[in-house]
Amino acid sequence: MRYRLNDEEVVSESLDGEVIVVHLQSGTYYSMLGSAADIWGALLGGWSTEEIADRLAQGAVRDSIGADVTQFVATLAAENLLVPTDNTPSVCRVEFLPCAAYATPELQIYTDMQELLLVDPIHEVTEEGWPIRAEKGK
Amino acid sequence: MIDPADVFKAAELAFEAAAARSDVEVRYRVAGRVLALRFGGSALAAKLLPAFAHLEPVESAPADLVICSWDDVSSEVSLAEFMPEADRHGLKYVEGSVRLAWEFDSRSLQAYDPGRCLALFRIPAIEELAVWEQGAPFRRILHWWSAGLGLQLVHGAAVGTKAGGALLVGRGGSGKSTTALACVGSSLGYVADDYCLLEPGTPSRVHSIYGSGKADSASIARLPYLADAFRASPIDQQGKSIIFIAEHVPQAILYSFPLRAVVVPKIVPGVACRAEVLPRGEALRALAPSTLFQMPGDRAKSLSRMSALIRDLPCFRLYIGNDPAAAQPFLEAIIAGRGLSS
Repeated sequence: MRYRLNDEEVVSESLDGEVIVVHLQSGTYYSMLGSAADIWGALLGGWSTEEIADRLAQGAVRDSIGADVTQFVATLAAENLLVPTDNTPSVCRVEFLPCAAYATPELQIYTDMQELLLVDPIHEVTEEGWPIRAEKGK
Repeated sequence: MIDPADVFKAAELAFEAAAARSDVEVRYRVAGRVLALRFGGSALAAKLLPAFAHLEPVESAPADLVICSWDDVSSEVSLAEFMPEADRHGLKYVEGSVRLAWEFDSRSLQAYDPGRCLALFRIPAIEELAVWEQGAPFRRILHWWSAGLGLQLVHGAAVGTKAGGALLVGRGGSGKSTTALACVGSSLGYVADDYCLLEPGTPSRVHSIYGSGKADSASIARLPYLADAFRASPIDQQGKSIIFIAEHVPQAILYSFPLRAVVVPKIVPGVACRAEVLPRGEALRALAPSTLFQMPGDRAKSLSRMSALIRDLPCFRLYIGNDPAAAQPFLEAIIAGRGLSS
């Protein structure tokens, strides 16, 4: 399975080996280090879950790493950070060279800013959706 | 369906109606650009101008951005027909040829036409203007405008000297405002306690927008130098008092400085003040989410700009105990590149 960034709701940056992902609608933000950051970069670079597991395994126990990667990617998708995309291998797939020695990938989840959005949520709408008043007669 | 451009046009006409009765205009220099503030009524000007009064006034240079402000009562033109439904909280934002943001609770409208560098800020009545808005007016407008110039409005405090300074970042309550305010009256100048403008470059620079300072009663107790000023100030809905630094300690004001470090303060009662090196990712986590969640529009670019800025700077965590003034020598050492000791 291949994924792309849920770029309508999510922004991300990588800095000194740490990936920071912000979900703009939920108010949750995330941090990934080591293998987690490697996997995130590979997913956004067009690699499939299976290809990432193969590359990370490199002589280690493929089944265990495959299960780790599958579970980790499922978590990313469940958090709505990624959305499934066409499973066709991308011709412009970027090179994937893991920076970290393999360790079970972890997603750090921060919810301390959610209250800010609960009090002051931002409802982004397209021009077609503006304004609500026009819908009142429905 | 109503075209956002029509909303903008209607709002502009409403402002002209208000300005026909009373038109106040003041120009200030912000980040090297000229900001013209027009008010349809002197009463609203009196509420919103103090936040900018510390800035360098400009007499006749052409404006890079004009912000027109008014209230429905003064203009006698109601924009109610363009109001979204009122049974929601937060902000409704639409981005197209113009940008519009309605705040449901305050029933205010902020609008920006990037093609004309013209912005509009409308409230229903002066009496409904929130105290916090007086401390940091037009934040979203200034975010949209500055982003178009490659600048970044951030949720952060800033102190330093003309030779260099530090950006203090962290979520509300982390201690950045208290730390910045504790530097007032010291050798470190005051640029901001809550919001400032970052200009990427080599080096990147921080620019002042607002001359306000906010503190709750617990923080005021730890700011004896400013206690009298806070005692006479208005209090916002969250129980924070707002002062304008230039009214009390004008020599503390600094317009801009080259950025030397990013500092994440952490108040821990009872501990001795100390600093430690912080991974840059952690500094970005302290800066970016609270900025992004407050500023709609251009958010992917905003995160990219903040990340690029932090990538080039040393980052520190600064533990602050009961006396925030103890942070000042640590900040001076960090800014001077002398490391972690005071």
